[in-house]
Amino acid sequence: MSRVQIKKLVKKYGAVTAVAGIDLDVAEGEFVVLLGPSGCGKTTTLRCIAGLEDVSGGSIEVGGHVVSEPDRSVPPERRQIGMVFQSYAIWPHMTVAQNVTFGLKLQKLPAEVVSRRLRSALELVGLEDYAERHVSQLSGGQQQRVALARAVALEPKVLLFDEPLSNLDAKLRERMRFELRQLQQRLGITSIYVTHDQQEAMVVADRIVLMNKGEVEQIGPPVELYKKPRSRFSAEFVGLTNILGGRVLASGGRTTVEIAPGWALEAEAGEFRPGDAVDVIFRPEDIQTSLNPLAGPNGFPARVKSSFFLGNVADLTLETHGIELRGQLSPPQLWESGREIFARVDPAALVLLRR
Amino acid sequence: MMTQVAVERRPATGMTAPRITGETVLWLVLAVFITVVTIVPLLYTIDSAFYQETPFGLSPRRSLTAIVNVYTSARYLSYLGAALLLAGIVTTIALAMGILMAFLVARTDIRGGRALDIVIIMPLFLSPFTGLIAWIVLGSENTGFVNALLGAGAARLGFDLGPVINIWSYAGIVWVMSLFFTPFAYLFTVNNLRAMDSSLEEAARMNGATPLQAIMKVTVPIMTPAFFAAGLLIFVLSAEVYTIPGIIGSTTGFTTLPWQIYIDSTVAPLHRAHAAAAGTVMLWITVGGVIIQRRITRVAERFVTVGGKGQRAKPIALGRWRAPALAFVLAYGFCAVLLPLVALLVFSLMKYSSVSFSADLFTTKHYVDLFSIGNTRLALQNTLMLGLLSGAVCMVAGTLISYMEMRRKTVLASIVAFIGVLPVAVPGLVYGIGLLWTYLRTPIYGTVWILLLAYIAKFIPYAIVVSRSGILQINRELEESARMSGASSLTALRRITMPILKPTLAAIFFFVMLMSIKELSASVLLASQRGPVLSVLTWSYMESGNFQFAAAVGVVQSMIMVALVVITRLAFRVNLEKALAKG
Ligand SMILES: Nc1ncnc2c1ncn2[C@@H]1O[C@H](COP(=O)(O)OP(=O)(O)OP(=O)(O)O)[C@@H](O)[C@H]1O
Ligand SMILES: [Mg+2]
Repeated sequence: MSRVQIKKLVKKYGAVTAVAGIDLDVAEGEFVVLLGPSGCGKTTTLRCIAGLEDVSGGSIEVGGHVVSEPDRSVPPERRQIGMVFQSYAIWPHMTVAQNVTFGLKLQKLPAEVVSRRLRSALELVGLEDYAERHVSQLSGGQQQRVALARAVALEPKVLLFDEPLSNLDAKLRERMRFELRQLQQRLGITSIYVTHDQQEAMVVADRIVLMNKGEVEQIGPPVELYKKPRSRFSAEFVGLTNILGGRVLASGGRTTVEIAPGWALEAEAGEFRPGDAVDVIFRPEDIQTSLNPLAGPNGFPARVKSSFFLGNVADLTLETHGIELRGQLSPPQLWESGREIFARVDPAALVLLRR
Repeated sequence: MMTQVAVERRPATGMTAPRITGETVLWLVLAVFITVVTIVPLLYTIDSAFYQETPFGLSPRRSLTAIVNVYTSARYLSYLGAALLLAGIVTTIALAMGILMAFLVARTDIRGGRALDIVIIMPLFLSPFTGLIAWIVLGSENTGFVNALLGAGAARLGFDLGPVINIWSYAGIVWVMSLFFTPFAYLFTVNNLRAMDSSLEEAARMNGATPLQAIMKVTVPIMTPAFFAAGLLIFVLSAEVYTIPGIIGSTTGFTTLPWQIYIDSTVAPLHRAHAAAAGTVMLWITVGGVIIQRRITRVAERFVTVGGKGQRAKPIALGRWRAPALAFVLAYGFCAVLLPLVALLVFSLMKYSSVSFSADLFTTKHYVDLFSIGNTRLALQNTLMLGLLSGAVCMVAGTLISYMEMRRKTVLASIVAFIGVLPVAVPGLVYGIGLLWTYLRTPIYGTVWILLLAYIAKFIPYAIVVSRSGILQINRELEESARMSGASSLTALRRITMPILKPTLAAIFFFVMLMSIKELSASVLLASQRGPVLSVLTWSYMESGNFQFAAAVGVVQSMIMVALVVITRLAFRVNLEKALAKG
C-alpha cells in the first residue's frame, strides 16, 4: 500500500504529446479513476506508472521513491505494481494456477507460500474450483477474474487497471464494478483505474481524475465532479447538461444572468461583475415542469418539442425564447408535443462559468 | 513481508539507464551477424563487376569493360532475352495451372476439398532438380520410360510409334520448371480466393449474373492483383534458375544469362567481372519485381475486400465436370510428385539403364556403392547438419529480429529487419558468387560453413516474414503482464512469447530446413570435396553423366524431405503450407 505521486508527467511519442504535464497525488489505499475521452492519455499515464513506458518529463514516485524520470526508470518487474489489462492478458499456454503463480515462482517463494497465496487469490475472486483449468476453457468474466487474482496474488503496492471491464457484456460489467470496489476496499490496495465509462467511474472511485488532451481537467470525488463542474468540458463529459451562454446583469445576493432578450436566470452568488460573459450550466433532472406557473425564482413558460418514455425517466425537449433545453423527469411524466407549459430551475442547481 | 524496491530518492540506486537488457545484447549480436552475412557478399558482387579480369580472377585494376560488355553486347543481351522469355513462358503456364487448381479447391464442390492442398503443394517440398533427373529418366528420347512403354504398347498393336516426348528440348525445360513453379501460384492465390467476401459475388447474382458471369465480372477483376503478384514472384524466381535450363540447354545449345554466370564464374578461363556484371543484371530484375510488387500491393489494398465478415461463398457445383476436375488435380500431383519419385526409385535400382524391366535387372548395388564412398556419407551428414543449423539459426535470429522490430520499434530495429528481408530479392546464384569471393581467402572457404552462411542469408527473409505474422497475432499485453508479474524482458520472451509462438517457430524451423536441403544454385558454387552436400552430389553426378548415382542420391534426398514434412505434420501439428501462406 503506497502513495503514488505524479509530478508534471510528460510523455511524447515523437511529435505526439500523449501526456502533457499531469500532477496527481494518490493517497495510500485510495481508489482513483482516470476518466476521459478516447485518446486523452489515460492508458499512457497508467503505462508510465507501470514502467512499461519511459517518461519524457516529470517524475513518478511510489512509496516515496522515484521510479520514473526522463532517461532513468525502475524496470516494471521491480516496481511491485500489479496490473489488470484490458485484454486480460491471460497466458493461453498455462492453466489458471500457473497464471496466478507465475510471478510468485519467479520470486522463488517457498512452495507452501505459493500455494497459500494461490488459494486465497482464487477464493477472493471465486474461482477456487478452477485452478487446474486451461484458460481457453474460461468465459470472458472468468478470465477477467483470473487476471485480477494474478495481480492480487503478488501483493503489490499499487494496482493498476486499464479498462478491465470493457470486454464484458453490460450485465456482468455492472456486477463486476461493485465486486471490484468491494475487493479493493477489503485489501486496501492503492488503485488507479482507467475507464471512459463515467458510470463505472462514479461507482468505483474515491476520486475521479478527468483528463482531456493529455492534461488534467478536474480532480474530485464523483459527486463534486457532477455537481460542480469547473469547466465546460467537465460539464459536457460527465452526464447530460444544458449549457446556455449569457451575460451577467446584476450581482450581489444572487447573480442574475440574461440568457436571451427578455429571459434571465438567477444563480447563487458568485464572483462576477455585471457585463461578464458566462455559461449557465444545469442538469436535465433539475428542470421541473407543470401546467401552471411554478412558485419561486427562475420559472419560465416553454413549449414541449418532444417527450419520450425511457423507463425510469421521461426525456423531454423544451423550447423557450428560441433556445432548446433538455429535461429528464422522474418519476416519468409525458407531455404532448406542442403543448405550452411552465418550467423552472432551482437557482442552487445552476453553475456559472466564466467564458 | 514485502521487500522495498531498492531505489533511493535522488542517487537513484536500482534505476537503470534505458534498455541495456539481455535481450538487447542478444539482438545486437544477431543483427550484426545477419547484416554482415547478407550485405557483404552482395556488395562484393557489385564491386567485382568493376575490375579488369584475368583467366584466374580479377586484376587489381579498375575497368568498365565487363559492365559495358554485359549491358550492351548482343551476346549477353540474347542470353538475357532467353532467360526472360523462358521465365515468361513458365510463369504463364504455372500461373494458369495454379490459379485453376486454386479456384477448383477454394470455390467449387470438387471431391477431396482441402485435402487436395497437400497434393498441389507437395512439389514445393521436393527439389526441382531431382524432378529434372526423374523426368530425364522418364522422358529421354530413346531410353525414357514413357517413350519405351508407349512404344512397346504400340509395337504390340502392330505399329511403330517413335519417341512421343523428349525432355532434352526447350519444351522439356518448360515442362519441368512449370511443374515445380505451379505450387507458388496456387499458394499465393488460394487463400485470397477462400477469403474473398462472398457477398460481392452474391450481389452480382442478385443483379442477374449467372455464376460464371459473376466469377468473370467480379471475382477475376478483384483477384487480379493477387494473380499478378503471384505471377511476378514466379517470374523473378524462374528467371534466376540456371540448373534446369543449364543441364538440358548445354546439350541442346541453349544458353540463358544465369547459366552464363555459372559458366563465367566456374569454367576456365574465368570471366569473373563478367559474371559479377551479369549478376547485377539479375539484381535489376528482382529489384524491378519487388518495386512492382509493392505498387500492386498498395493498389490491391485499396480495393480488394478479402477477409470480410461475409460467410464463405456456397461452393459452385461442377456437375459433370466434377470428375474431370479431380482428375486434373490428381494428374498434376501424379506428374509432379508420384511419377518422378517412382521413376527415380526404379531407375536407381537398375543395374544399367534399360527399358525391359526384367527382374534380374534390379539391384541395390548403387546404394551400397554410393554409401561405401565416404563422400556420400559425409554429404548426408553435412546436409542434415546444415539443415538443422540453418533452420535453428534462422528461427532464432529471424524471430528475434522481427520481435525487436515490432515490439521495441526503434529505427535501428526496423533497419535490421529491412536488411534481413533484402536477400529475398537476391538470386541464389548471385549470393553464391558473392560469398565465394568474399570468403576466398578466409579459412571457411571450401568448408561446409560457407554453405551455412549462404543458407542463412538466403532463408532469413522467410523466417522474418513468417515470424512477423506470428508475433502480430500475440497481444503485447501478454508480455507486459509478465513484466508486471516480475519477469525481466528476457524471461518474458522465454517463458511467454516463445511458448505461445511455438507453432510458428516449428514452421520456420522445418521450412528453412527443407529449403536448405534442396538448395542447389548457391551450393553448387560453394560446395567442395571437403564439404559436399546431397544436392550438389546429384548435380555433379548429372554433369558427369552418372545418372544412376544421381537418381539414388535424389531418392535419398527426397526421402529425407518427405519424412520431414510428415514429421512436422504429425509430431508438431504444423501445416507448413498454412504458415507459409500467412507470411
Ligand atoms: N505507442 C504510441 N505511439 C504513438 N502514439 C501513441 C502511442 N500510444 C499512444 N499514442 C497516442 O497518445 C495519445 C494518448 O493515447 P492513450 O492510449 O493514452 O489514450 P487513452 O486515453 O487510453 O484512449 P482510449 O480511451 O482510446 O484507450 C493518443 O493520441 C495516441 O494516439
Ligand atoms: Mg486506453
